[in-house]
Amino acid sequence: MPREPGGRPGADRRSLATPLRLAGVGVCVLVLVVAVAGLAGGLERVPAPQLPVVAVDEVSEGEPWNVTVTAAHLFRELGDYSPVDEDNHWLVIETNVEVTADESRGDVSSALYPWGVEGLVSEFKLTGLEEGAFGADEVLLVRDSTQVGALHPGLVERVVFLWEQAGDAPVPTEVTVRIVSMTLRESTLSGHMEWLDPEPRARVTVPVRDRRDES
Amino acid sequence: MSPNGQDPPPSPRFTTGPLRWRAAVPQHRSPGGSRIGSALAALVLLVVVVAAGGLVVGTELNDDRRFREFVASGPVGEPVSAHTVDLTVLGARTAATIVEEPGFIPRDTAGVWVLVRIRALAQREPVSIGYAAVRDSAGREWSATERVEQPLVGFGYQLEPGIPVEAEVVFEVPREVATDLTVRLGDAGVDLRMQTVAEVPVPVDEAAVAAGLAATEPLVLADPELVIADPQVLVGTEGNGR
Repeated sequence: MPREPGGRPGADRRSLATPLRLAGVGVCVLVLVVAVAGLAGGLERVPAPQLPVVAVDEVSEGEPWNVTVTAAHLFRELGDYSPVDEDNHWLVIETNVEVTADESRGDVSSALYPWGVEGLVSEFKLTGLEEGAFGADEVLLVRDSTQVGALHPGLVERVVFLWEQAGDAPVPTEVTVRIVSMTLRESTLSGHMEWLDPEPRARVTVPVRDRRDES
Repeated sequence: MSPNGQDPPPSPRFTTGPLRWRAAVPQHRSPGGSRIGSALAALVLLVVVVAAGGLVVGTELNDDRRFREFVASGPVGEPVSAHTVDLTVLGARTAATIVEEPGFIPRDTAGVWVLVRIRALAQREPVSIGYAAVRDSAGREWSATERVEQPLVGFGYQLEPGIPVEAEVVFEVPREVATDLTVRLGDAGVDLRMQTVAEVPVPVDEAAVAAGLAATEPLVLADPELVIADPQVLVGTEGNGR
């Protein structure tokens, strides 16, 4: 067998033997760790953490707003506001909202959403939130029934959020409302400080009062 | 070994090429202690460089600071130039309830209404006052309310050069900050980057707030008015008087 000048027979094999042995030991250790972790339950699916529960009339404090859910109703019409389809009705969530950010906010319609309610007609999907999180069709100030353009820091306002629900959808007797928080941070895209990363921070389950015959 | 029994002194060595003398070197490598010292010094230097870099990054202005607006400040009653428009704060009123016109729906508030009367004069070209807000000393900012029609704020009203216009800008603020406000006005929209903003203290004191809140009748918003009593203002851009 021809030999490289100056080489010794089997030298290449011996030079590879140690790294291969170490790699084998590493793989065995890794398999052992995974097996032990699996036996200890480390590979089981972890259920999503439950959102903190807030009671009706209890303030959910956070940024950029504090939100208190006070009641829920079903109305055929609400003042001058009628559903697009006359067979439908409004799901109305009644709240108190206070902007805790340092500036007026025009995106209060993103402050909360009903969860698990069937037949919502809204197509206003709340950006950055879970599938099925829809923003209100209308957000109104209770004090004068006008649409909310912006809410301002330090002023607690009574606000109602309206979602149009299909007339043939199951009528909810209670509804779970998820309250959204955001974080003020520097945007990696724009480089500016922005309110980003919306996520539900609390949930409120509120009885729904069917008042469709009153309107 | 020399004949006298002593080692000869190290002799100079010569290299090929140009004649160069090199002293004898006991060993070319530094002793082990020196190597450890050098490694430690390099490590310390690395840590210092990384820490200094971290400090530089930490103190670097973010885009909001780097491109922040230019602020032109002035007192009440004096025109303040916001680049394309001169703005003068003439006074302020407060109220618990306002109404756009008699017979309209009164608008109450959880705080207090602050109505700042301003005079605006476009300088060289038609402009609009796209930005109007009040800010307290803590840095909180309240934009002009959208609950009533603002005659002079927004891009629906265009100021013509040389024609001053007076109107009220309406804000809804908490009671406790009503005497601690500066009004900020400019021709920018939402994006204030590299724009000019005029800043003037809002002339409201405790007595005015108390009187406004105690009033039983809604305060009727003043109509905007052209200030053209002095025809000179129509032919120049300097005049601000009536």
